[in-house]
Amino acid sequence: MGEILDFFHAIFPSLDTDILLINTILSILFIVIAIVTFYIILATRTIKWLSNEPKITKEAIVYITNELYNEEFTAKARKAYAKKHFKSNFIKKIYIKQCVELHKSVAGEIADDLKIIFKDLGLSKIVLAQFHGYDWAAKADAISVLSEMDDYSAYDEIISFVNHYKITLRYKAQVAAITLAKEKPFAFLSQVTKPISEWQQLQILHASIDLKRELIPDFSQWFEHKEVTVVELAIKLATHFTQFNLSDKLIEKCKDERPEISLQAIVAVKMMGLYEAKEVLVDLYPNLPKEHQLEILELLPSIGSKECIPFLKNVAETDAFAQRLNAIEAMLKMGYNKDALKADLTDKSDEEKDLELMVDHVIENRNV
Amino acid sequence: MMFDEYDARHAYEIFNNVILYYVIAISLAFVILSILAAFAMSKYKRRNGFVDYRAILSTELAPGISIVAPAYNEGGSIVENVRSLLSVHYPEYEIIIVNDGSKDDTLQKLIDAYDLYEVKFAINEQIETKKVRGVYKSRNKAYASVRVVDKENGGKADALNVGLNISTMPLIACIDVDCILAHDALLKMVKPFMESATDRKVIATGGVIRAANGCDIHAGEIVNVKLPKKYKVRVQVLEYFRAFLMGRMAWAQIDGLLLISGAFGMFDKDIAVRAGGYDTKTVGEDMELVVRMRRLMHKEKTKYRVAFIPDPLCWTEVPETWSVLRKQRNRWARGTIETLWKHRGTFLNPRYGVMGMISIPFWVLFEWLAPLIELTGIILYIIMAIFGWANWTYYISFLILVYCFSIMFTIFSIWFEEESYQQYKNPKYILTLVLTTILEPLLYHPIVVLSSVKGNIDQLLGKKSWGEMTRVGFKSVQDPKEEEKPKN
Repeated sequence: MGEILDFFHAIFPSLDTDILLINTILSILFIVIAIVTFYIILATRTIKWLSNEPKITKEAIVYITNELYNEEFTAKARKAYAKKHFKSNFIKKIYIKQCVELHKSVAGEIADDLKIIFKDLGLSKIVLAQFHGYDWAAKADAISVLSEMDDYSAYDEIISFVNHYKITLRYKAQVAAITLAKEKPFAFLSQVTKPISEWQQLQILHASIDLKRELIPDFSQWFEHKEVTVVELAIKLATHFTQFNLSDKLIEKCKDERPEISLQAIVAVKMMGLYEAKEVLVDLYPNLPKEHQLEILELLPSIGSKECIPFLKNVAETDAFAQRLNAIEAMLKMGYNKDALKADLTDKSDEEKDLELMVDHVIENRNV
Repeated sequence: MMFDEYDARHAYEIFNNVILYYVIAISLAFVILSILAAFAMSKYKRRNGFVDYRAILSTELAPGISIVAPAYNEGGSIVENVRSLLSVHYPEYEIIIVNDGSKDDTLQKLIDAYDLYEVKFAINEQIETKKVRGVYKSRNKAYASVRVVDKENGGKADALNVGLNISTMPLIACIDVDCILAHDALLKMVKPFMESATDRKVIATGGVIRAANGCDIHAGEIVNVKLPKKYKVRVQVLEYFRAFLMGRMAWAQIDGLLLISGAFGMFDKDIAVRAGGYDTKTVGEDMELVVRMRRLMHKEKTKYRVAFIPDPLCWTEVPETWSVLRKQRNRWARGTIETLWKHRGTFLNPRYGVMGMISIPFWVLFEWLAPLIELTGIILYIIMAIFGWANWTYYISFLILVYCFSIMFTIFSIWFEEESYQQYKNPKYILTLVLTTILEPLLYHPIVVLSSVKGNIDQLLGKKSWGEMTRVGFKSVQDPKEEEKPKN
C-alpha cells in the first residue's frame, strides 16, 4: 500500500498528504467508471439501433402471415427464404419469437400450419442447438419454444429435466412433458420429487387442456404420492377432467390430515358437485381450518338438502363472521325465504341487528 | 477544565475521521447493494424470460385480489382513475374505492359515473376504523367488481384498514387511486405468492413505481413514456431508478426488504389483518406494516419472504413543485423515524434475522442519520472555517470524492434501467438524464437533505400532519391509433 501511495505521490507531488492523494485517486476512479458506464449505455443503444430490430420484426410478421394465408408457398421456397434472409442468429431469434407469439394467439389448422412454417424455415434446428447449450436459462427458453411449437425431437432429453435443481428448467420440462407426449403425458408425475408450486400447477393444467381424451389417465394413481403438491395437482387434474369414477377417493381425501390436500379435495367436491360428500363434510366441519369451512359452506347449496339447514343455522349463529355470511348465503340459495330466515335467526341470537344486516348484505351483495 | 484550541482541533480531527469512515461505510454499502441488485435483476430476467400468463387468465383457481384505493378530494380525476383500474387483466378481482371523507365531490362523481346505489353491508370489523357512512355498488353489471365505501376522514392508513375489513379476497393490492397500473400488473404481482409453495411463504410483494409526469396517457394507460421537462421532476426519475431498480431489488434478494411503496403493493390479507392492519398513528404506514408483518412471522416462526418485482407496473405522479417535494420528504423522514423507533427492539436483534441484523441497522445508519450527519458536518466545517482551523484542501477533495461517487452510482442506475426495461427509448433522454445526474448533488440534493432534517425536527416537536399533496394531474392525449387514421 505504501509503495502504491509513493508511486502516486511521485505523479501528483502537490498532493502532500496520503488522505488527499487517496481522495483524488478515488475521485478519478469513480469518474472513469461513470464515463465507461455511460459509454456502455451508448454503445448498447447504438448496437440495438444498428441491429434494425423493429424493421426485421415487421418483416418477420409480414412474411409469416403471408405464408399462413397463401397456399402457393412451398417448403422449398421457405428454405430459400431462410437461406437468403437469416444472416445472423439475431434475425433467426426474431423469427422464432414471432412464430411463438403468433402461435399463442391462434388455434386449429392455422396453428398446425404455423408449426410447419417453423420447421420449414429451419428454426427448430436453432432452438435445438440452444437447448443443447450450457446456459440453463437458454435451455429453459428453448424448451418453451419446442413445447409451444410441438417439436418432439428432444422429448427424451427434456423429460430428464423434470427434477432439475433449477426451478425454471424443471417447470418448463414438466409442461413440455405434457404437450409433447405421444403417450402417458402425466407419467413424469411419478418421478417428481420436488414440490410443484401453485403457479406451476396452473401451467400444467393449462398445458393439458388440449390433450386427447384417450391420453388422460386415472389421476388417483398419484393420490398417495409422497410429494403433497403432486397429490394436490392430481386432485386438480381429476376435477378438471371431471373423473366422476374417482368420487369415493376424492371424498376420502377430504379427511386427509394434510390441510393442503383436504382443501383441494373439498374444492374438487364443490366443482364436481359430489352430493355423496354432504354428510362427511358436515361431520368434518367443526375440526377444519377457516378456509376449508368457507369452501364447505359455499358448496352445500349445490349438493345439500333441507337436512343441512339446522347445521347452517348453527353456523350462522356463531361468532365467525365470514362463515356466518356463507351459511346465510347457503340457506338463501337452498330456497329459504329471507323473511322466515330473519325471523328464525333472530329468535335464537342475541345479535339481532347483526344477523338482519347479514341477511340483507347477502341478498344485496351476493348473487342470491 | 478549559476547552482550549488544542482540544477543539483534536475534536475536529476525530470528527473528520468519523465523517470519513461514515462516508466510506455508506459508499461501500451502496456498492454492495448495486452488486446484489445486478445479480437479482439478472436472475429475475432469466427466470421470467418465457412466462406464460394465459394459464392464470383462464382459470377459476387463481387467488382473488382486492384492489384497495383510498381517495381524498380526488373529484378531478376519480372517474378516470377507476376506469383505469377496471382495465386491469385478472380473472378474479374487486375494486374497493374508499372515499376518506373527501370535502369535494369525489363520491358524487363516482355515484353519477358508475350508477352507484347504497347497499346494506355487514362489515367485518377486524381492524378498528373511523365510522363507515355507506357502501355503494353499481346497477351496471359491467362495474359489478366496484365497491365504493364512504367513511369519515381518518387518513390514508384508516382508509386502507376499511379496505382490509371490506375485502372478500385472500390477497389485497393497496394502491394510490391516481396511480396508473399496467394491464398485467396483478398477474405479475400475484406470481410470487403462487410460487411460494416451493419456497418460503410470500407475505407481500412490492412493485416498481415510476414517474408518470410528462408521459402521454390515454384512457388510463401510458401510451408514450417521456422524460419530464422540469428538472426537479427528472431528478425524481433518477431517484426512483436508484430506489426501486437498485435498492429494493437488492434488499429483496437478501430478504431484507422493509418498504413496499404505499403507491402499489400486494399483501397476504390474512397476515396483514393478523398483524393489526395499517398503523393510523404513523405517516410511514407502508413501511411500518411490512415491518410488523415480518415481526409477526418471526413470532410465529413461519418461514417467509417479501418479494419484489422489477417490471414497470405502476406509474404515479411525483411532486412538481419544491413546496410539495419538501412536504413529501419531510413526511418520509418522519415516517422512517416513527417506524424505526416503534420497532427499535429489532435493532441488531439476531432473533429477527436479516431484518434485525442488516436492514434495520442500515435504515438507522444510512437512511435516517445520513441527512443529519451531512448537515452537521457542513455546519461544523463552517464553524471551523470561522475559527481558521479548516483544512480547505482536504475539505474540497473530500466533497469532490463524494460528488464523483454519487455521479457514478446514479449512472449505474441509468444503466440498470437500460439493461432491464429501457422505458425511456428516445436517445436524447439518456443525455438529459446524465446532465441531470451531474447537477443533482448541487441543486436538488441540498433541498432533500434540508427537508429530511426539518422532518426530524418536526418529529421531535410532535407534528403529525401528512401535508397537503397538491397534484397537477396527468396530461391525457388522443388515442395514438386514432391520430394515425386519415381524416375524411
